[in-house]
Amino acid sequence: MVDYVPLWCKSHFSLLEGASHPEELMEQARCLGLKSLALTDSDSLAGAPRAAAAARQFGIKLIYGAELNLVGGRRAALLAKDRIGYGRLTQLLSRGRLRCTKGYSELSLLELCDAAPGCIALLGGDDGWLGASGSIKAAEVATLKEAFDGDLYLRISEHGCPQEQRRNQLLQSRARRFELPIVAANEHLYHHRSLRKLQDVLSCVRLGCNLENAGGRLRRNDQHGLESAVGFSARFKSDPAWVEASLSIAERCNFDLFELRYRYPCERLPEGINGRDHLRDLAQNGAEKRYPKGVPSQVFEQLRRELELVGELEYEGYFLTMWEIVRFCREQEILCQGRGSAANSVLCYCLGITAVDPLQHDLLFERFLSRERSEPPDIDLDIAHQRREEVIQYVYEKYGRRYAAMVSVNIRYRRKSAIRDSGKALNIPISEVNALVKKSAGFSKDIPEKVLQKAGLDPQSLRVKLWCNLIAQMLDTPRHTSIHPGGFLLGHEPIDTLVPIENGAMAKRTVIQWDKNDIETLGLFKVDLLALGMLSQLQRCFELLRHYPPLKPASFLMSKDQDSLANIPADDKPTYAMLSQGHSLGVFQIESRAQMNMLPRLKPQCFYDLVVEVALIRPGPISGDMVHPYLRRRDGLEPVIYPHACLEPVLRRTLGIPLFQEQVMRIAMAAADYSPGEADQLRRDMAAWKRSGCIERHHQRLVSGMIAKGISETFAERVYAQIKGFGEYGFPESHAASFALISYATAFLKCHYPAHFYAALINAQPMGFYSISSLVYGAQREGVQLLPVDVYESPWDCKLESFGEGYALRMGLRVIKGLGSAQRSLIEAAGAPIKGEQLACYARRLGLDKASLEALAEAGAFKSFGSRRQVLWQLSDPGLSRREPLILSEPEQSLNLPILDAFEQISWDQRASRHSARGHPFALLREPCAAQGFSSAAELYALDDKRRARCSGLVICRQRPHNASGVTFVTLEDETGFVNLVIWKKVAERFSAVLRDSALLAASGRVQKQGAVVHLIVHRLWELAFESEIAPVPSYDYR
Amino acid sequence: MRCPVALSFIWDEDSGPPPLPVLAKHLQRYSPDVAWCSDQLSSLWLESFGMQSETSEWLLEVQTSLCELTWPAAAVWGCTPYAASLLAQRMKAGEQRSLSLVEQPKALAALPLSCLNLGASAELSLARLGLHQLGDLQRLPRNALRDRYGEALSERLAWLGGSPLNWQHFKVFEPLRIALPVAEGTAQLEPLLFAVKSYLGSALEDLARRALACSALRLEAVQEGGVERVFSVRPARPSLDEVVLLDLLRLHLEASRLLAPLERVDMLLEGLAAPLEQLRLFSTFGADARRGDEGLDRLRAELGENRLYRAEVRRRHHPKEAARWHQHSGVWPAYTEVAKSSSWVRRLLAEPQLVEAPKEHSSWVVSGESVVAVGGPYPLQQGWWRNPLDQDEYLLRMQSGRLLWLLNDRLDGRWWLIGWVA
Repeated sequence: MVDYVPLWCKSHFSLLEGASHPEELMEQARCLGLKSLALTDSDSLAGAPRAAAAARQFGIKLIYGAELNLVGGRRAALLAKDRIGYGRLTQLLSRGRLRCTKGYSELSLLELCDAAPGCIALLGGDDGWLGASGSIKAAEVATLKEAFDGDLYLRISEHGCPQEQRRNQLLQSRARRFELPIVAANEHLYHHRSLRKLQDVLSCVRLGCNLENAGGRLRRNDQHGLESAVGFSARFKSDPAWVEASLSIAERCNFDLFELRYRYPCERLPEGINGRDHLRDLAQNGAEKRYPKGVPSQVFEQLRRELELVGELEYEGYFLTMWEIVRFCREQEILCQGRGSAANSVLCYCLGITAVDPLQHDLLFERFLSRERSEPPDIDLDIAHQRREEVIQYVYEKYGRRYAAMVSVNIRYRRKSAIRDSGKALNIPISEVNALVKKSAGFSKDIPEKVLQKAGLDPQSLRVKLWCNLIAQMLDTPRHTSIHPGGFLLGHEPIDTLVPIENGAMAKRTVIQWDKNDIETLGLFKVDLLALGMLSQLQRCFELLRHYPPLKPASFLMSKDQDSLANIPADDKPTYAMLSQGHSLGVFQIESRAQMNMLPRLKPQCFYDLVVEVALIRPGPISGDMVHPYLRRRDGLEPVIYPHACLEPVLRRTLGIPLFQEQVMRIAMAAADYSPGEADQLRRDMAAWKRSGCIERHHQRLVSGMIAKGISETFAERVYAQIKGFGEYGFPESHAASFALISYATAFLKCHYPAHFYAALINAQPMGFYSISSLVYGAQREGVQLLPVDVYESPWDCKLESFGEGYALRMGLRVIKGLGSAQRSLIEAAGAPIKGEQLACYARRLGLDKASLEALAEAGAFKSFGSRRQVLWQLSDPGLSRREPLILSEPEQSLNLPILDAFEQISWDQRASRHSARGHPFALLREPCAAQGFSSAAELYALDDKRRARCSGLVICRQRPHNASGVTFVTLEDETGFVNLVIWKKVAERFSAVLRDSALLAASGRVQKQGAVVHLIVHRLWELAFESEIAPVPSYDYR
Repeated sequence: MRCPVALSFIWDEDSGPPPLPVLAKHLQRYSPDVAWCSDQLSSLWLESFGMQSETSEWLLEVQTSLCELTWPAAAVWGCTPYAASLLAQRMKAGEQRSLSLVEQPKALAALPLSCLNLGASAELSLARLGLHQLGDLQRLPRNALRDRYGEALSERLAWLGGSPLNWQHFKVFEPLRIALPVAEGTAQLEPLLFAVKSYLGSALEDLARRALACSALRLEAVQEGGVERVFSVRPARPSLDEVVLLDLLRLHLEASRLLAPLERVDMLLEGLAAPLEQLRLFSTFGADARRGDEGLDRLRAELGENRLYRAEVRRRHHPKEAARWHQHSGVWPAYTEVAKSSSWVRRLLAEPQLVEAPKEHSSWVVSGESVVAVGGPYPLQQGWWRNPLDQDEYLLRMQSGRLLWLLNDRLDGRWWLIGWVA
């Protein structure tokens, strides 16, 4: 029976070259009756894990290989015969990649020898070495032949191209001359010939051309698809031995990716001690620090259990690595904190990785690690975002670039990019491409005819049909690779023997070719070092408190390598009182409009209330209808009842309402007899139920289990509905507790040290929910004295200056629009002006471009040199920008330019630096606003429920949550605070243009008051217009 | 012009910008010289010198006639032409004013600086200094202004002082009018865009042949019940760019709405002399362009006009597309490098020859010679995005040793001899 093995297949992971997913190649291979297939992506093994999984599924023997780019643009393929060969191949690919910029690779011909023994080399083919005319150095061939020792082949291909005939003759003569065997191998770029069009389009994207001018750079026909053994053999009927050679090669390649044995790096251990003992010692020392009054027996027992499981699963190295990274952060005074399921572990708490005591909060360890789940633990470490790169570079340095690399992310085609790239390839006018991008929002695979018509395209035209087909085919195709936000792969052995490493687009970043799903598929460990802006803010706040000691001493401040965060006094009453009033601007996780409105209802009094607050305003609890029952029970309006005694311990802390993922797991264990591992599977299915629908399989078991325990069917069904609701987005309690700890810390600092808090928050921007403008005006309302930017006084970051008995916040130059890191370096190099220095001299000394100087002048930073207009006039002198010797003549006579009035000053501040330290623009507009009957935010709060009212302000937030039945929530800001507008769907539709575009809004409607929470139910909206212009503030819209 | 009168036309979103060529043609009945300036696209200047009647009476007649055309205009004369145009733009339609040079500064002082069309950046910069009107400029030294705002401001100030404007004197062209096929009862505007697309290219070519560029594109529509609608777009500069014009029209149509179905639509293209800078975009000069031009001139002198051809080698799979000859009548072309190819040297026949299909390869005779061996088929599938081509290429070794090059069209089955390997 005729058979063959395709030895030259490229998938989508030959970026913008291959046109099929690895899974499609495998499936097609099975359909064609092929038993084996070699995946040889260009300089890449990125598709190997997916191909391996698909090969298992379809029963195909997969051969792992790659096509390598050689010096001079020639190419050769290598196929791994065994684990050693695979390691050599990945190392060779890493070498080629790391010496080039991202996306490129190059190796010399003789470097191929390093892949032997263990690999089979195929030379020849299109652009292949030995396949091209020109002289061949016999010595080079001899070296390769000697190195590969019978594993060197010449590859003859037949794609229906007349030039191939001549090239194949040449290859045959060279095979005879150098006594090399020949194998038949065609380049397969797609699994079916129907994808030829997609392949052409992708090639155009790669080559930066369109189909019209691509010419001979595209393949000449559709002969690059996978084909049956019969069809393939017919191409090489002149010598069937060439086809048979492919079978003998396949027989010799017996490596499977799942054979990879991976060991996590074990920390350099003190002499005479193994990893297990070292981890135990560290944990015990940590426990003594965590519990200075003595380690409770419960903690001791849990720690023993966890250490036993970790030892059994051989995960000690992983925990030691995390401990090492956290220790580095502490030493370098970089704030960090573990989050996610790791907070369920006492071991992580004792090692200092997480900050929440899991036993105090009754957290479920199985959510983190279980014997039944054959998965590595997942510890996410949040690091202050402005210093995370230091930690990343530390990991590279400590483990070495061969042992540590970041995980990659495949950026795939989505609707917009597919429309744009295919449109360019088809040479469609950019105006049509833009129109389709604009009109097709919300549609992905199939773009309806109506949308095409709206975009001015004829749906019946062949060109448009073709375009639409290509868009649909391009979706989900990888376009380029990027770096995972923080995932690291570490290995005990060099990881370049597991997977090729390449340069990232960012300087000093090296990444592996696999993404996080691939890592999971192969059961490898990933360390996540994530960036968290609020930790930067906290860090900066601690630094400011050290530099500018407050009147109220900050005794929690610790010295270097000690945790100030952990020492913030717990259960501070003023902090909770502040939060209970809804004053949470700038407080981590509870600063959004919805959270602000929830705080006065929840009135948090202790840390656990904050944990609930963090978790409550999430799509899961909201759509699971858990919020209002919880609030009613909390306020004593509804009795706290438990459907069964067995559920009381599980739900007691949340008043009988399940709010956290762990509670759902515990309910399943307590009421439906799930094992811990099964409960964890339930959690996974909950998270993925929309995608996979797996949750349905738990329905019967959960409900019948609960009924068997004597729980009512109604409650059982409600619990099931809530579980489905969690699928939307429910928080694990451990995660909420980790976040709540940071929320509490930021709230404490805001309450007691507002000047320090806001200075740090502005210095840590961009981050959080609010713009600088809202933060500045919020600080003013809270009594923080603000001083405007001034080149004499302001450094780059905001600082504090003594003011009365306390501190005033001096705005830093960083808040000025148009200034970035380049300008920062110049400004810091020049320093402040010297006393008596003329503007022209200082401006030249700064060396900034004209736009940056004007930005400084407009923001009022040069106020010591004269009025803003005078300064702008002087700076516009073209002589300033000329690199001529400075003429020490009299400065240009000052001109009689109009002086800015108070409103103009604020307006200029707002425009130039997104805020004004002189006050809110609406403070000066209050009189005309009051004349038009507008209440201020503060006045609105004093009005009775259901009163008619009008209000106005700057739009700072527009939101339309998907579970709010089309209601739009808008937040306005004036000089007295925020106004919450609730706009019903019909009203929003009626005033859609104003709602979407206006930065200054006026609204009339009826007040809705529930305790301290006030909304205006809007009836009418209009744009507010004044004679003087107010610059809009950045608005947080529909995110 | 010795005594120019500035006429400024009033227009709005509905009417669209004034059709200067049409109006100029009309005004040539009243004055021998009508001019426009690219900086003032809603004004025309008329020569009033030598008119028999009083200027005001003569102008009244002109303004009345313009009103009848539904293009009312204000008129100013006596001061500098540029100042007259700026002032006329601020007057009501039908008004006229005579202004002496002495009165001019006072009249201009209250005009906003935006009337000088200095560009957004300069206007913003002046506004930041608190300078909003022409009179405010008097506070600042002229030299310092020129240093900071360059020639544009300096030039305009000079025009206000009486320096000659960059007038372009009208040679009037009739706008091109094309009736667009619109399905009866259509109440949507999208089909209009398709109809325009079908005709715009050839209409622009027509304009280009007359050395004109499109200054305005108008769609004159008649709706059910006889209601007329005009959709008009006008590029910043006269343009021959089809994509730009279509894009403008698309934006305009998207912002418009029809209240009744369409009965008839005419497309009108107004033409103006194509600006020099637009023409320059198409010229390419190599480093040795002058010598190249001289060489080409010599060849033309010797061989005659229209006897120069230029070969262009292109990297294409299809033999017919791999090389192209085109007549060369312009200047020395920029050198474009052609990638070297290692393929065989082939000769392509000027016209492919139809050959008889083979019955059996062994007895196949092509061009009177027996075929010894056949190489192929080599499938060639190209142009799927426009005119799909599905052919097989063959190389035939003939008895004489020649290698012939054939194509077999898979669709009609015919065989073509297209060339041979040298």
